[in-house]
Amino acid sequence: MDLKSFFNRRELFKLIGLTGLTSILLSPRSSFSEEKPAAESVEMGFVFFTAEEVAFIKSYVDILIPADEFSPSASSCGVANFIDRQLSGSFGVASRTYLQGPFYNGSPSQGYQKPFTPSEIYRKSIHQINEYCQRKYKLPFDMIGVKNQQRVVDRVHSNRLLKNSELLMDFSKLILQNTKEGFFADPVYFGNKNKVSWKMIGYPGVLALYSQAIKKFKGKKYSAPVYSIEDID
Amino acid sequence: MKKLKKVDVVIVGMGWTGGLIAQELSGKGLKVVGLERGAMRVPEKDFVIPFVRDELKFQQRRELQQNLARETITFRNKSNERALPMRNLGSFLPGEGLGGAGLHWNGMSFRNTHADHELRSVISNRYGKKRIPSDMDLRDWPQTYSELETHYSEFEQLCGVSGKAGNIKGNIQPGGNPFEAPRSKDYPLPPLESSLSNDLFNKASRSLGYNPYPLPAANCSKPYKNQYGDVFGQCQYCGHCELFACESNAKASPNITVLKRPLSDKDFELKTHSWVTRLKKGKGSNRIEGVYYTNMQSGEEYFQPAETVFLCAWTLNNVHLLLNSGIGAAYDPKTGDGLVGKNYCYQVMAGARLFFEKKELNTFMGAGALGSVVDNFNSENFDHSQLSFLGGGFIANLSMGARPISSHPVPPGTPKYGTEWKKAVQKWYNRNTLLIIHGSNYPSRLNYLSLDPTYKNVFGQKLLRMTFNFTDNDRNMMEFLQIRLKKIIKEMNPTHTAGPKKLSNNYNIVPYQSTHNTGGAIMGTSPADSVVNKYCQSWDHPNLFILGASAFPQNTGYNPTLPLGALSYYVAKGVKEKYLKKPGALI
Ligand SMILES: Cc1cc2nc3c(=O)[nH]c(=O)nc-3n(C[C@H](O)[C@H](O)[C@H](O)COP(=O)(O)OP(=O)(O)OC[C@H]3O[C@@H](n4cnc5c(N)ncnc54)[C@H](O)[C@@H]3O)c2cc1C
Repeated sequence: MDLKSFFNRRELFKLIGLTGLTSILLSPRSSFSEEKPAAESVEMGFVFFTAEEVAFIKSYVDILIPADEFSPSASSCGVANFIDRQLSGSFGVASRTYLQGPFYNGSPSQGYQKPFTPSEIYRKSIHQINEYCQRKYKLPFDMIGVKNQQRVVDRVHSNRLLKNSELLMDFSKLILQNTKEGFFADPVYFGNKNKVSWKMIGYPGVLALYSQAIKKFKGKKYSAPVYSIEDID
Repeated sequence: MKKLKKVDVVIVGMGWTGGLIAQELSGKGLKVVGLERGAMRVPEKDFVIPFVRDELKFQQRRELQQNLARETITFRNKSNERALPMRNLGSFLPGEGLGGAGLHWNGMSFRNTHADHELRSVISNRYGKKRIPSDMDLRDWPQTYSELETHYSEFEQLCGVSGKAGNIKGNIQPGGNPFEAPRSKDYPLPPLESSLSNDLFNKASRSLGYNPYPLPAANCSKPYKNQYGDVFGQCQYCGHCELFACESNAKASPNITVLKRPLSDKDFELKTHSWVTRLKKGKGSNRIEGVYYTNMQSGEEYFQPAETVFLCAWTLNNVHLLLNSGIGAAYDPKTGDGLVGKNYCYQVMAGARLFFEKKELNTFMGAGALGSVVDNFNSENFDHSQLSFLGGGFIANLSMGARPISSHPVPPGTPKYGTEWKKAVQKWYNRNTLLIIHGSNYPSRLNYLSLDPTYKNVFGQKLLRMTFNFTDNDRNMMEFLQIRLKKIIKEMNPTHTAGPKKLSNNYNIVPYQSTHNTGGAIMGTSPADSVVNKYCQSWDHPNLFILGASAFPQNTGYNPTLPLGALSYYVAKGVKEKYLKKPGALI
C-alpha cells in the first residue's frame, strides 16, 4: 500500500492513539516511499511581482540565503515564488490586520502603526533600493554583482542605506521573516523545494508520530524519511 | 433587526467556559442557545494529517485566532499616553470559532496553590497587614481551595490530565510537587514521557535542592476515556500543539468533550458566525432581557431574548461587552470609583535558550504541555518577609516541539542571514532547549480596561482600551526569579545561553507572551468591591453570569484554565442546585 492511499483513509487517523497503528507508522524503516515521482520541472510563473521585481527579489533572497555546502540558494528553493504568492494573497493585503485610522506614531511597545500592507511595503522598498543602486552603480540591484549586493543588503538590514528610512526598516524585517518562512515552510507553499531545509536541519516533517520514538530515541539521533504535506495528501 | 423567540438560556461564546456551562445545562429540557462569533470547527473533519501540521497557516498566519480587521483592542502603557490599536496579533492570541482558545491551547493544567485562593489573608497573617501596598488590591477568592477541590478534580478528569500527584490528602508523594495543595485523588493519567532536556533540567534543579516535577498536561499520556465517555487518543509528541488543533484527540478541547453533550441535545441550538454586540438591560428592572447579535455571513442583526444570560466570551471580550452595554460602572483610576475594568492582570514572563553542543535533543518531538517544573519560588511557597516583592512564579523546561519556521534559534552573536547563519541553524536546531519563568502579576491601581474614545470595531462600536504596565513589584520579582533560573542554567552547563533578559521597563504588546489575561469583572463577597459574586453572578443583574478568568481578582504564577474550569463547575453546581429552582440573586 503506498503512503498516499494509506492516508486517504482518513478515518484511520482518528483511531491512531487507540490502536497499534502508531508503532507501524513510527518505524523509521518504514517501507513507504519517501519521494513523489519527479515531475517534469516547469518554471513557475509570478503573479504579484513584475519582471523587474522578480529579478530584484531573486537576487535579494539569495544574499539572505546563498547557495553553499548547506543548501541551494533561496531562489532555487522557490523562496521568491513563495513570497510572490504570499503577497498576492491575504497576507499581502493584510486581510487580518486592523487598518482603520487615525494613524499616529506610537511608542515601540504599541507595535506597528502604519497604514501600509506587506505588498505595498515590498513594492515601494524595491523601487527605492533599485533607485539607490541606479544612483550609485548605474544599474538595478540584480545587476550590480554579488559583492555590491551584499553591501546593499547589509546596509538595508542595519538601516544605513537611506537616512532613517522607516520604510526600509520595516522592509528588512519583513523580507527576512518571509524568506525564512519560505525556506522552512512546507513545500506545498512553493519554497523549500525537495524539503531541502528540513533535511538540512534534520526536521523529519509532518507525519510526526513519536509516541514510541520519544523514549526509544532519547539522546540518540533520530532519522526517518522526511514527509511533507504533498507526500501524504 | 429581527426579534427571536425567547429562550431559557443564551450563552455568549463557545470555548471552555461556554462549552462547560452548555454541557451542565443540557438534557434538562431547557431551551439553550449558544452564540459563537467564529466558525464551526469539527476536529475530525477540519484537523487531519497532513493539513493539521501546516505551520505557515496555523502558527505564522494565526488562522485559528481573532481576525483583527473586525475587532481589536487599543493599548497604552500609562493613562497619560494615547492608546493605539493593536494592529497585528502579538502578546496574546484570543481564540475564535467553536472551542475558542481551548481548541489550540497547550494544555498546561495547574491547580492554584492553597494560598492563591486566600492570598490577602495568607499574606496579612504571615507578614502583617501593612505588607500589602495600598495600590495593590490583593483579594481572597470568595471560594477557598477546599471548596473548589472536587471541581478541580472534575475538570482534571474531564481533560485526562497527565501528571504526578505531589500531595494526596496530605500525604506528600515523591516525584510530585511538594507544594501542591492536598488533592483528593491522583491525576487521571501518569505523566507524559520526559524528554532528554527535561531530564537534564531535573538533575540540575535537584542538585540545587529544588523539587522538579512533571508539568501537568491535558495531553493524554495514554488512551483515555473520561467520566462522560469521551474517548481520547494517546499523545503523539508531534510537536504541533500550541496554536494547533490535535488530530489524535489527545489534547483536551471543548470540541471533543463538553460540547458533545449540548450538540446532541435537541433543546440546544448552536449558532456560529454569530457575533454578540450588546446585552440589553431591562427598563425599570434589574434584568438583562437578552442579547443583540449579528450573523457575520448574512449581515443580519438579531435580538435574542432570554431568561438567563451567560457571558463566556473570554476575559477581554467579557469586559468589552459589559462596557459597551453600559452594565456596571466603569473603573476610574483617578478616583478609584467604578468596578468594571478594574484589577486587569497579566502574566510576567522570561525565557532563556540553552545550547548543548554534544546533545541530540530531538527537539521536534514534544507536546504542548511537555515539561518539567520547579515550584519552589511560586506563590507563597517561600518566605517573602525579607523580600522586596510579593508573588512568584514557576521555572520550567519546556519541550513543546520545534517547528522549523518558528523555532530555529541560534546562539547570541550569530549573523541574521547568510552562510554563517545557516551553518548555526543546522548545528543548533536539534541541540537547544527552552527554560521559562512564568510569574504572577498582582493588581496595580493603574492597570485597567476601559472603552477607547477614538477607535471602532467593524460594527462602529468603541474598542476596548487596555492600560497596562509592569510594576516595581513585577521587576523585583523577576530579578529574584532570574537569579534562581541562572543557577539552574549554570548547573545544566550549556555550551551557549541566550537570555534571560531583564524585565523590560515597559510591557510590550508585540512579542507573544501568554494568553493569560485576567480580571476586569472580578468576583468577591460584596457588591461594593466586586462585579460578580462567588457564583460569577452579576450583583446588579441576577440573571447575568460572567464566567472565565475575568473573575480572577489577581493573576497567579500559573496558567488560568484549570482554575477557570474548576470555577465553571462550581458556578454550574450553584446554578443547577439553587438558581434554576429559584431564579434570583443567589447571595
Ligand atoms: C496559544 C495558546 C496557548 C494556551 N495555553 C494554555 C495552557 O497551556 N494552559 C492554560 O491554562 N491556558 C492556556 N491558554 C489559555 C486558554 O486557552 C484559556 O484560558 C481558555 O480557553 C479560556 O476559556 P474561555 O472560555 O474564557 O475563552 P475561550 O476558550 O477562548 O472561548 C471564548 C469564545 O468566545 C467567543 N466570543 C468572544 N466574543 C464573542 C462575541 N462577542 N460573540 C460571540 N462569541 C464571542 C470566542 O470566539 C471564543 O470562541 C492558551 C491560550 C492560547 C491562545
